[in-house]
Amino acid sequence: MTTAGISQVETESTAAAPLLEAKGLTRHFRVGRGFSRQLLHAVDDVNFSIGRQEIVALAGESGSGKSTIARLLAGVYRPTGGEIFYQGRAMSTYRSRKDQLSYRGDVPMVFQDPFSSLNPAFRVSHGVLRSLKLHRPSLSRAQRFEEAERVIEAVGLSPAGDIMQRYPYELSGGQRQRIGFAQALAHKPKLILADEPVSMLDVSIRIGLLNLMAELRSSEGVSFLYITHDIASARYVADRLMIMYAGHVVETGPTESVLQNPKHPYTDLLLGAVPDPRAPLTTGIEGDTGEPPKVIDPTPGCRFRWRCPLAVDRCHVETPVLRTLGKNHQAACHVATPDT
Amino acid sequence: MHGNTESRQLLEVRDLTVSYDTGDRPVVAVDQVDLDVHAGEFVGIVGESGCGKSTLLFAIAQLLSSPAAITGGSVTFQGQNLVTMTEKQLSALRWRDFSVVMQSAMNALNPVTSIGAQFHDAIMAHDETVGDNRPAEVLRLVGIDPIHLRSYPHQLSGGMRQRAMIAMALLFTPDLIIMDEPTSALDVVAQRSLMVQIKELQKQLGFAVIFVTHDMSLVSHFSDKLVVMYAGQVVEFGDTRAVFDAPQHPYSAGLLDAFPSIRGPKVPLTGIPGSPPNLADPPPGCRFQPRCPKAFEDCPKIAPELYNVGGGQARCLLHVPDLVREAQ
Repeated sequence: MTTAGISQVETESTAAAPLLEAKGLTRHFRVGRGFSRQLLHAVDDVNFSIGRQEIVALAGESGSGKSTIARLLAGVYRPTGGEIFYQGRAMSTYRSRKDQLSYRGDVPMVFQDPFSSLNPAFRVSHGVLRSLKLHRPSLSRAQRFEEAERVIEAVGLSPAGDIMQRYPYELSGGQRQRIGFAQALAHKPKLILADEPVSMLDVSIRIGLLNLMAELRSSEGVSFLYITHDIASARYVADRLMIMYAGHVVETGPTESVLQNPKHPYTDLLLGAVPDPRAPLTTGIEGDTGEPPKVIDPTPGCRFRWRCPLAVDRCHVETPVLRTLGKNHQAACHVATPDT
Repeated sequence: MHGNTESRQLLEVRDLTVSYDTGDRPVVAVDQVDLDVHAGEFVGIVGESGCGKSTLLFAIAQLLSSPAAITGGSVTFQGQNLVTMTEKQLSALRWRDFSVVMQSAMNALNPVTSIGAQFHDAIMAHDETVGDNRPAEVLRLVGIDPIHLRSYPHQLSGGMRQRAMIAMALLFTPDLIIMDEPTSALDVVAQRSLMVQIKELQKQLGFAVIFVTHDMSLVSHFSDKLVVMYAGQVVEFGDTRAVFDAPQHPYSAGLLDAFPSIRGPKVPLTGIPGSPPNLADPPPGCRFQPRCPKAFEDCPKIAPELYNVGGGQARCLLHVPDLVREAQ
């Protein structure tokens, strides 16, 4: 009876545990020349989680630290502080190559620039087959080809056999980016880190890739961390939205909740600046020239305070932390008011 | 807007054709483009990469270099044909009567000389009479403290560099400023503030703007006229509001449907299937026909012209006037 009860609790806790969780994630870079001890705080004390089959968008302006987060999750950078938990296990405990390989197979990355992320000297099949060989060594050669064809068709390229024999220069930007997704899909990933996957593509084909992400979520069961500066596209695909500013997550919540009822003044500013031909021109943000801060050796206080129309004395001395202001909706702001 | 059409014609582009000489077969990047810009008007040119929009700008400003060359048509600016002018004659017009703001100010400013020295260069080259205070004046116009005349480009942020470029373009208060995606490297907030500023300056100083961008929604609130380009051709032209409210060409309609909105109901979007054609081997008939959801049997056979629709023009067989259709 008691043992059954315990195992019950355990299964529940693993089911409820997020796929990936970051706690107090921090990354600093040393800047300046010579013996400079100046530190650039690219990512500071960031907490978030990504659930199974969830698309989480991370939005912010350039320099806000969103790509640094992607690289931390991909294992390209080691965190200065904090910890990343993947399926409940801390990443810092991965010692063996086998552990690291399996993590990298589970959490691949799709890069921003489809023109430089594929090796021009090899056929398209090369990258897909190689990662299959590396991450799923149990497959035979014939099975690898079969699997490669399957993922290339899964990303909407057909006939797969023909596409695989082509070189990257024979493909358009949108097709190349689809190959990027196919490479990531090949090793049955759980979470794909997509760092601005559509920003280099023409507007007429961007939507196709966003639709592809939503399709793959349901057909392949993967989660996405979708990093973007385009809030409108984040709204289009994401379940949850995180807004970053100067290395901090300033607001997070269900996408619609954040967009319809923004709590943080920065989110407000960002939404006001998005060009929208279907809506009249918003006014009131003209004074802001949109200069993002460089966070070098910051003192305590809200990092948005210099641009914030609502800043009070407290904002200059105390760094705000995320607090819950609505259903699953949090913002790091001293002034923001909770839902009533 | 109506007042604008009656005002003075500043620039008249007729049948402008630009080819890139690629050896075996020239690639026609700009194909018989007509464009009118009146004094004080804001004309947006939108299209995807490779549609010829930047080439068109360079052709208007006479900045093309080999292997690209103008192979036909005329560019009449203030009554003079720029195409047939010598470099020396052009030099007298550049900066003073029309100026160009390039894409990515990151690379357009000289990294090893101060902003002030670069302003000084332009003044020495084009018109020394504007006076020593002019650089500080134009910097103040774009909202930069003149103290930055002593700064080097790397000391300014991306937005400030782009503003400095615009300030430079304003040195001699030209009648026309040609801008090639000046905001593409900026964040939405900076982008928005720059657009508002350009519009303010335009109101204040009365210059006309030709603004090239791939982001159709960006110009929606700022331009008077809109030109949509596809595969080297103008496919739609009209008042901006009219094009956004009721696009006449399926390509413009598709482009509009390719942007998710941050407001209003969430609707599934499809974008435009396929990708832009290779200009060395354009599809027969209408160039958009292989990707067009409304294509019918005539589309691959007949190359459409620009037909008048409503107040604008569209290059689509759906808008062939009845008379022409019967004759065919």
